[in-house]
Parts: sequence; C-alpha cells; structure tokens
Amino acid sequence: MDGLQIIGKRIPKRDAPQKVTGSAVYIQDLKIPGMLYGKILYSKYPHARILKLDTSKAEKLPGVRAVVTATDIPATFRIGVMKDNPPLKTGKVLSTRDEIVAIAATTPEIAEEALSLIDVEYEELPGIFDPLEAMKEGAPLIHEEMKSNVLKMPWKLVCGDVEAAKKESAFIVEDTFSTPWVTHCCLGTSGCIAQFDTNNNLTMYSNTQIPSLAQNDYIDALAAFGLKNKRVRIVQSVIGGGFGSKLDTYAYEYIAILLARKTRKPVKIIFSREEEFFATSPRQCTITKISHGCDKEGKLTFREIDMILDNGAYTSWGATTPSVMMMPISSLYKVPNIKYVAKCVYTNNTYSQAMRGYGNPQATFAIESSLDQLAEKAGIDPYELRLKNANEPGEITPQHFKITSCGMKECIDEVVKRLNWKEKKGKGGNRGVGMASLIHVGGGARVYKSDGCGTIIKMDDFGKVDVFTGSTDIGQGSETIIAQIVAEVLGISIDDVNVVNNDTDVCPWDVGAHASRTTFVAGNSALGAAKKIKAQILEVAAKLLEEDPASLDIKNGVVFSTKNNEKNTPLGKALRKLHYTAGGKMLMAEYFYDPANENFDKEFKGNLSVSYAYGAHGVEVEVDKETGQVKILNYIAAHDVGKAINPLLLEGQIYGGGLQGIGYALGEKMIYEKGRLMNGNFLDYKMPTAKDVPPVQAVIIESDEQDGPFGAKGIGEPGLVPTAPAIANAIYDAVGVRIKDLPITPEKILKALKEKEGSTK
Amino acid sequence: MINDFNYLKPDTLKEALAMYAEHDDCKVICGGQSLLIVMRQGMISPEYLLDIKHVTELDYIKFDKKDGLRIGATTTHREIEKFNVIKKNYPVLVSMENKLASIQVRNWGTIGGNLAHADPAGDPAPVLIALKANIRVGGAEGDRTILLEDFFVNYFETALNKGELVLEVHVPPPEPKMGAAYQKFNLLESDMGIVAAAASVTLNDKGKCKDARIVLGNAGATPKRIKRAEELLIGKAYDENLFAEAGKIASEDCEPVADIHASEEHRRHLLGVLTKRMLKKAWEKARS
Ligand SMILES: Cc1cc2nc3c(=O)[nH]c(=O)nc-3n(C[C@H](O)[C@H](O)[C@H](O)COP(=O)(O)OP(=O)(O)OC[C@H]3O[C@@H](n4cnc5c(N)ncnc54)[C@H](O)[C@@H]3O)c2cc1C
Repeated sequence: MDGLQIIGKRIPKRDAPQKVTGSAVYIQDLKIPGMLYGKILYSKYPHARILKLDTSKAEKLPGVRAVVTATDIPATFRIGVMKDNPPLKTGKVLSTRDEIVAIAATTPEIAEEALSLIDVEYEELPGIFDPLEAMKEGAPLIHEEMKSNVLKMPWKLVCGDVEAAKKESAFIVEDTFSTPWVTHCCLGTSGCIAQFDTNNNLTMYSNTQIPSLAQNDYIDALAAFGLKNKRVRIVQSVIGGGFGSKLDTYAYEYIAILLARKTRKPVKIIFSREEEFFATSPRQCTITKISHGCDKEGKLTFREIDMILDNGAYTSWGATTPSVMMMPISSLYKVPNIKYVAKCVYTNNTYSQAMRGYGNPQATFAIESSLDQLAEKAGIDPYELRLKNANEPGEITPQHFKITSCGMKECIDEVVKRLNWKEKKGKGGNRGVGMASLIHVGGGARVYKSDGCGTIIKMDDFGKVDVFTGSTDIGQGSETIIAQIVAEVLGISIDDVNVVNNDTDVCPWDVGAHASRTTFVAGNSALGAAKKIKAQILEVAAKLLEEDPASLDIKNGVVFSTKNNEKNTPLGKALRKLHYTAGGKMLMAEYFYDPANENFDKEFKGNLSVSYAYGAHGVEVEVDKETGQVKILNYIAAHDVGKAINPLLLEGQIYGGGLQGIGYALGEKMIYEKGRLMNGNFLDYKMPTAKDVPPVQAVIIESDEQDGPFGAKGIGEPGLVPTAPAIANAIYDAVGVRIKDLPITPEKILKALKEKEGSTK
Repeated sequence: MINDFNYLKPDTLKEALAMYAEHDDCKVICGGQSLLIVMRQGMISPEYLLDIKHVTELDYIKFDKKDGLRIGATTTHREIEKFNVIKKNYPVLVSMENKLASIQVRNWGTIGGNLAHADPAGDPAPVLIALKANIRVGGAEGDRTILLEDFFVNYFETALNKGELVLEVHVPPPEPKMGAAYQKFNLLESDMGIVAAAASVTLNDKGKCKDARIVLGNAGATPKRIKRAEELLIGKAYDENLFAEAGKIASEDCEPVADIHASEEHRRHLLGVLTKRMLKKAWEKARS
C-alpha cells in the first residue's frame, strides 16, 4: 500500500508515558468523596452447609456502614451464562471462593476487621474435585436442581465420517493430553466503585473489558433488586491487563452495587493479590483424548477428540470455550473428517473464564503434539506433514469457515528457515527443535448476536479530532491503533487525534475486548467514521475553495486541491468558518461496523469470523538430562497478521503472548488440592518475568486481508496458542520423551526419562 | 493487611539496642523484603517496628588481606554485588548475589536481614558457610561471634537471643588454591531455589584436596553441611567419580521435605547432581 503516512509505523503506545511515570489512574488509584470500602467473606470450605451465620458483632464495629448477605438479594437472582451463581451464597457453599457476607466500612482496615468478627458455623460436606469422579454414576450432585454434574451444554461437532476415515487411514495415533488451570496474572487486580445518584441511577467505575455487556448485566440486576428502568453508566479506569479475566461480570460487582445501595455511598471493592489469584476465574483445565490419521503420503484423514473440562462450581464463559476450540479442531490444517465431543463437569473447584486464546491453547496443545506423533509413525518430517496439510486461501473448511487471506505456509517456512530446522532436527546431543502452528479468529468472532462496534468522530475548532469508540484498551494498545487509523484517513498528525474509550455515556456500543477483534472490528468502525467525516470536511472546504470535493485531499492538516496546490486551507480555518457563520453547523460522523460473519448453526457450523489469523512457532531447546531443566535457545514466532498497522505494538503482542505461552508450557499451574488453591501468590505461582525472556524473533507475515482495516487481522491472542506444543515437540526431539500434561516440569521430564530407560533395558 | 504498629527509628547502634531491649513485641525491620511479606500475610503483627536502616554504623564493607572481609548487617545485596574487592577476592559471593531476586529487591534487602530471616532457601548462607564465615551478633549487654553454621537453629529460627541484632558477617581471607562455587535450581531465573548447593575446595601443593566444604540450601530446616562427603574428598586427587560419589552421599544425607514445587525424591536427586557439579566447578577454580 503506497503513500501511507502513519499506518505501518513503529509508533510507541500513546499511554506509555502515563504508565511509566505512574500518573495513569487505575481503579486502585481512584477515590470518590465519601467512598466506603467493601470486603468479602469467602467460604472456609470447598463444600459445606452453612448452619449458622451471625454478623451482629461485625455490624457493631465502629466504622462499619453495611453488612450484606444472601438475604439482601432476591432468592432467585443468579449471575453467569447458566444463571447458576448467586452473588452471595446461603444454604450450601460449593467452593472456597463462595461469597457469603460482604461489609462496607469507612476504611479497608475496618472492613477487614469486621470480616474477622463474623461467625459462620459450617457442616463440612465431602467434595468432588475430579471431573471424572463427578461424572460417575451416583456421584453427589453439586447443583441438585440440575440433576446431573454434567453441564447442559452439549458440545458436539461432526464433519464427514470419522469411522470410515479410520478404516482408510494408513497411520493412526491416539493419546491423551491434559492442561492445568492457569491464571491471567493481571498486574491491575479486579475492582470497581459503585455509586448511585439520588434517582437511583448507577455509575460503575470499573476495569471491565466489556463495558456495554456489563451495563446490560447491571441493568438486569438493578431490575431484580427492585430498581426498574434505571440508567447505568460505566466509566472505565486505566486497565492494568485483562487477558479475558474481565470479560464477565462477577459477584463482587453485584456486591458493590448492593452495598452502595444500602449505604447510599460510593463503595469500592478492590481485590487483593490473593483474591485475584483465588477469586477470579482462570483458564479451564482439560483432559483431551485425541486421535489423528493420515494416508500413506501424509495427507490427514481425520481428527477425533473427546474432551472433559472441569467446570468448577459455577458457570462463566469458560464453559463455552469448546465452541472456540472447535476452530483449531476443525480447521487447523486440512482435515476432511472431524468429530469432537466435549463435556463440562461441575466440581467443587474454582470456576473458569475466558483467558487469552479462549480454549485454543488447550486444543492446539493436543492437536500439535499428536501431529508430531503421527509424523513419526508415518515416517515423515513433522515440518513436511504440516506443510502438506497447511491451510490455503480460498479454502472452505469442514466447519464452513471461509478462508480468505492465509499465510500459514509462509509462517511455517520462516520457522524452518530461521531455526535451521533441517540441520538441527533429530541431531541429538540433548538439543532439539519443534514447531506448531495456529489458526485463530482474525476478523471478529460472532459469538453474540452482534459482533459490532460503533465510532463517533467530531471535529473541533482547530482541526483536531475527538474519536469516541466503543472499544476498550486493556493494555493491548487499541487507543494508539485507532488514532493511527483516523489520523491516516484524515491526513492529520496522530497527536491531533484524541481517543475517548472509557465512558458508556459518550462512547458507542461494542461487544467488548475479546476474540482478538479490536483492531479488526473497532479499527474498521473507526475507518468508516473517519471516511465519512473526511467526505464532510472536503465538502465544506470545496465551497470555501470553490473546488470540486473530488479533487480535494488533506495532508498535514491542510485541505488542498490536487489540481492546484496553491488552493488550500488549514483544516482549523475551514472548521472555524463553519462554526462562526450564521446558520453554521458542526462536523460529526458515526459509523457502526458489524462484520459479515456468522453465528454457528445448530451443528456448530458457520463462518465465525470474516478472516482468520495464522501463525507458526518454532523453538530450539536444550534439555539437561540430569536435572530435567529445559533451556530455550531460540524461539521463532511467525504470524500472519494481514498488515502490521503498528509493528512495534504488534511485536509487543507476540513477545508478551509468547512469554505467557512459555509460562503455560514450562511452569505455570494453579495448584489445587481438594478445592483449595495452594500457590495463590507470585512467590509460588511461577509466572516468567522479564529475566526469563529467551531470544525471541517475531516474524511478521503480511497477507493483506481484503476485509481488514488497511489489510489487518487480529493478533491479540495468537501469540500464545502454539507455544506449549512447539516446546513439547522440541523436548521430544531433544531427549525422546513426550510430556502430555502441562506444565512440562523438570520432575516430569526426569520421570519420563527414567521410564524410557527402564523400558529399553 | 499490615497491622498498625509503633515505629521506632534509632540513628545509632547504641540507641537501637537500647530501644530493642526496652520494647517487648518488637520486630526489627531493615530492608523489609522478607518482614513485610509475613506482616502482610498476617503471620505476625508486632506492636513495635524497630527500623535499623538508618543505623549507618552497620552499613560498611571492609577488606583486609589478613583479616578478611567484614560486611555490616545493613549492607544491601546490591552493595555487596557491586563491591570490586568482593568481586576480586570472593567472586562466588557476587555470582550468588547476581541471581538473588531482582535488582529492586537487592537494592532494599540486606545481608543482615537475609541471614536473620533464616529461610532455608536463602542464597547467602550456604555460600558464606562454605567460605567459613562467622557472624557477630550483639545486644545492649555486648557482642559475641559465632560460626555462621551454628547461627541457624530451625526453619526461620536463629541463635539470636532476645534483644540481639545481627551486626556483622566476617569471612576469613581467601586461602591460596581455594575455589568455591554455588548454584541454585529453580524454574525461573533468580527465583528462590527449589534446592541449592555450595562447595568450596582448597588444594595442597600436590593438587590434592586439603579441605572441602559442601553446604546445601533448602535441604532441611537449616543450611546443611554434608560432612561425610567433605571427609571423603580430603587427600584425594581430581576425579569425576569422586564428585559423583560425594553427590550420592549428599542426596542420602540431606533432609529435604516435599512441597508443592518438588517432591522429596526429586529434591534429593537434584541435590546430588548439584553437589557433584559444584565440587567439580570449585575444584577447577581452585586449580586455576
Ligand atoms: C521478590 C523477592 C524475591 C526474593 N528472592 C530471594 C532469593 O532468591 N534468595 C534469597 O536468599 N532471598 C530472596 N528474597 C529474600 C531477601 O533476600 C531477604 O530475605 C532480604 O534481603 C532480607 O533483608 P531485609 O533487610 O529486607 O530484611 P527484613 O525484611 O527487614 O527483615 C527480615 C527478618 O530479619 C530480621 N532482621 C533484619 N535485620 C536484622 C538484624 N540486623 N538483626 C536481627 N534481625 C534482623 C527482621 O526482624 C525480620 O525477621 C527475596 C525477597 C523478595 C521480596
């Protein structure tokens, strides 16, 4: 694309100076006059009956302004996709994160002290902590009214005929893989401030990544609490990371609302780091049985997957991740016959949520590990197997995805070239190489009825622009990207674009920062609005310059005639003229973009996204056979992003995603023992830090997506999708053991090495 | 949440010791890098905090060829790491400090605080014990110097009496033909070690082992010397089998416990491997 001034440039994140200097206002920093502090008492046991609850001592503590329990909410009020989660529990508690009582007090210390004065008597009940146990005949029911521990969300995708394909396959492999709970580790913990005005309209200060949907949830809740037809305004603070954790509304938010209503004061609830670990919803853990087949030449014939997910005690979006897992399962490489069945099972564990990749990392770990096993069985280099079956532009996949742009082969080639694959593969010496690919939605994802986002643009008196976008910046840099897009279209400096993205009173509607959709959907929306307002500007300037609008353009904030450069006017001047004229007007444009993607039909088929992002990761590792330690020597992350609107930010997504993926592969795990989190702090939860970054090369492939803004596709999640299997495959190449259960710890490697030695003796 | 406390800020050692003697339920705070964590977790809630960070008398590093190295208790990890004389004469201390937490933590945390905290996974203790360090402690009534290895009593428990502070760490002068090495095993760079091993080897004129120390970290309630393996080495020549044998003894004699990060068996195994490797490394340094 020629002549681009701002798109494609390495522009630092606009909010970086605020964040670096500490002037950014996070929800933690925000104070409102008269504000009270809310704290929550959680269940002491993972499964118990509450025999007695006495809050009288807490109520009497000076400084305590309100105490709320389940009796303060209508008994039928539930939150979550399955409406199975009352924000405050009574009768039975089902997990250690069950909220029982909440306090509002004048200081956090008093609120905390008040919690310690609450007297709860429990009768401990035997818990179920293993989904396989929970599925057994006669297992105690977690939710008695549901009649079964298996969630009524029957995930099933069938394409072609797997049984027939099995008979015709030359090679078949089958194995089981599992993944643990991991958590987002947002540096900015969850929090909100709820405030009612005198008319009982609610303002919620929040770090949610779904302002419009949260608004809807709160309006429903207010109605349930007897406040019908009220207005809700969401004001987002600067958000210290989301990664999916803030993609739902949670009990604590409703509790803040209840406390604010009861006290008539703003109430702030901020999670401590410990709460952030145990009381937010992690990436769900999975047990995946997978079988793959290919013909003599290595063409894939079928893929069959049976999966069990630990749903925990309640249901958030984590239970719907199988819908996104269907994407790699059906459409990562060309596989004609697919069968996938997944069950989410209630247990007394924590319940899960979205986390970067939305199920894709778990599914891809199984798929890409299994593919290496198949390659070995078929005697084909795993790289060739991948290339042979790689997706291509124009393809329609078994799940009815229409593949537009597709740089998968280029990504694989880059990995092979940069890793020196052919030299290094299978060379022993405790070093090895491995790779894995990915597909992800790159052009929105129609998981709700709408996948839309609105933008409003207004021009001020000086040729500067205010852009009101529905999209949310959770640190990924969408504010910068949107400013770039608008500045590029309008021919003005990016510094002249102000982006407002944090207030539902002024910002248009959007479904949220999820599914790697913001650059694509909000970007297209901003692009549409910018084009509209540009046309208006040119029309105004045309009158002023007595020129045909079609022969006008804008550059560096000056409208000029392309025929005669002498004929020009600074933008501000034209606008002032417009404002200071009798019968004048202002310039403003709006645009709503909703991509032409499809909801799944009853069989879970349909073109979920208007474009798909591809990538391949390759890694070289060295394994210390005496200690089991894995060292990453070289890491290549090649991504087909359509077009890099800002390579600097894009690489940031790849590095960050890659490192999060490395954590998932080699160390991160929420250790639950009998429903209790054992490592809910940064000392015991092994998240990699800056010091653990291996040499990473981010390789950008530009396939120029026809529907993308300036050709771009999404990149928010892909960076961590293929990391774990690429590393697992490299470890296998290095020392001949395959770890099928994440994370791949030294202890597991040593055990596997020992077993291997034993079996060859 | 950290409880409210009374804050005591002495400017001199004398004042500090007097205040410490005077107040019951008083905890010393220096860098706060360990204390604040346990306070925040509500594990302790002292009525008084005695902040000795400003007692500049204890902030020093001195080196003398005859006397060796003396480090005041309030010296930070970062100061130790950056001190050229230490780099030259006790390089193992610097390489150990380099991998202790992050620069931010090392800028605050002190050697006195680290040793007084007595976390069996602490890095400095095994290395200092391998270097035969002493520790000087004292209260209002006076000082005493004890071997550092005798300072550690149990998990997070030391030989400090009530009212006593750590004052100084003393490391004897480096012997000729002495080498030392230290490594911790962890999943993340600069994380607390799952286990660790320090070794020092001193050779005689014939290149045989004159003296050796093997000290393990996170291998029991306190830093653990493996004397049976040390004795095995005396008088012997460089031999990889010997190191392996010493490693085997270490994995037998250590007393690690299982936790969420590693099983006991895995820890024993790693301690054996690290012992073997550190002995070899220390020996090679002693030779060069
Ligand atoms: C993120 C993080 C990572 C860490 N990683 C490591 C690591 O990898 N390896 C490692 O070894 N350590 C590690 N630590 C711990 C840290 O190095 C030390 O424990 C710290 O340096 C202690 O020094 P301080 O001055 O901060 O002590 P404080 O926290 O102030 O005090 C610690 C304890 O010692 C007592 N105390 C302090 N000074 C004296 C004194 N002079 N006399 C008597 N008692 C005293 C206090 O009362 C308290 O009980 C880490 C800490 C953090 C926060």
